[in-house]
Amino acid sequence: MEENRKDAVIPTYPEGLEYLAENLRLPLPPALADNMEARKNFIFNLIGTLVRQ
Amino acid sequence: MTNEELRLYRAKLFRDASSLERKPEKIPHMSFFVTWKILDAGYKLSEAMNDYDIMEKVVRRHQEEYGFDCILEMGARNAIRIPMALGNCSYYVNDEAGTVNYVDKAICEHDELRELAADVKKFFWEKGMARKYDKWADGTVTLEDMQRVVDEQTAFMQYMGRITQIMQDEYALPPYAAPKGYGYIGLDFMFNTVRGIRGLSIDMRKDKGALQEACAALNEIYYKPGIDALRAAPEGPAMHAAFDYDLTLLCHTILNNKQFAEYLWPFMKETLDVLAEKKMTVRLFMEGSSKRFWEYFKDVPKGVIVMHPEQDDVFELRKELPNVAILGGMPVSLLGTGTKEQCVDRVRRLFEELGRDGGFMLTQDKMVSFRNDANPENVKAVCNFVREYNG
Repeated sequence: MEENRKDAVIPTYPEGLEYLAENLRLPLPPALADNMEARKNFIFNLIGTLVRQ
Repeated sequence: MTNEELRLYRAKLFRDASSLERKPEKIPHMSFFVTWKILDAGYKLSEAMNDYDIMEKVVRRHQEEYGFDCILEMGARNAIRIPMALGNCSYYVNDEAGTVNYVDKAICEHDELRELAADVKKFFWEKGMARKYDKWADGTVTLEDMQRVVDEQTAFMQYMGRITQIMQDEYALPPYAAPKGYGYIGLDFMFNTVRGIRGLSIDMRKDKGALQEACAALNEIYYKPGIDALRAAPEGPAMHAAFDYDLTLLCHTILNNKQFAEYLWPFMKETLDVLAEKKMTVRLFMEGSSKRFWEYFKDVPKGVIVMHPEQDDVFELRKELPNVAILGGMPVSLLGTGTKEQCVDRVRRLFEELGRDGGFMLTQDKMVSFRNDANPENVKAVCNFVREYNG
């Protein structure tokens, strides 16, 4: 439980988005792998998919 | 014919029929079978929806058994594994009944429309996700959970790439569309996800200004990038695919003519104008009935719209909109409860009256979902008749 709390996703925006963009392994092409804007866009698109599902 | 030649030949059948200028060599037949094909293959819905290897077998069998010229749905419709990585989703799968139901749950209250309009991303993150996912609401979602979501999304995309390639290479089927960008119109997003049927009906009566602001904010993120991408695409149709673009709409079912003109038509017109300029074709699927809005489509040039009516009469559609090609005509009700002879007679009439001069493609009027939606023997009889028809 303690462990869960330590890496819990931040429920506020934009802090939560930044945290995920920094820490998730994303299937981006190598040229964009370290591009923070591309990483944030990828995650926000995923959030868009999740709210629609 | 090699597989590649056959695939391009099939794509050309759709292209010729869509053009309303060239009669196709034969009338093409598209599959609009969705979850029915899982049950028809003898699997439970939950088995196929949770296992992409099983879904691949289902799609392969569907083509081997019936032999369509194109398959519209190859297992992408209910991507439940992605949301389930967070513990729950809005689809309720009932294996005993063979049904999938979608829970119409609003993620935004009427009083929050302006808050949504002010910052869509913040709203989705802080409120929308919490209303969809219990774990997000109670603050227990971990980085590991979100990594599972990313991995599931990747697995889904890999499945889609694989099945599309298999159906092209091994079964000579063209992809059904090759969209250059996709614009999701804000009002449809509001209807499908944000406010739901009841909520949107209330918003349109209670506070139009707030609804317009919310739609404008959604359009900025979900519609505008799509239309910009379409505008930037090279001119000309993608001849390897049946169509260039897909526009599926649901929110018009609760709109009157005035509301349609205000909320939906400006975006539809913009999209249709760009498609016309690019010489591209859209499959337009307006669920339920779209008849009361047909007037709007009268001036769209030939070759742009392929209309797939769900409830409207295709013979009436041809009379009212001779500038629009038709995809459809086969009632699921007949496939489910009619005889083989009745099904074949229906197709013969469609081919003789609507297909005689081109502009007609056969498919089912609704997404074929439930076990009783279609009798497999009727489907086979129709497919055999289409293959052998020489009109």
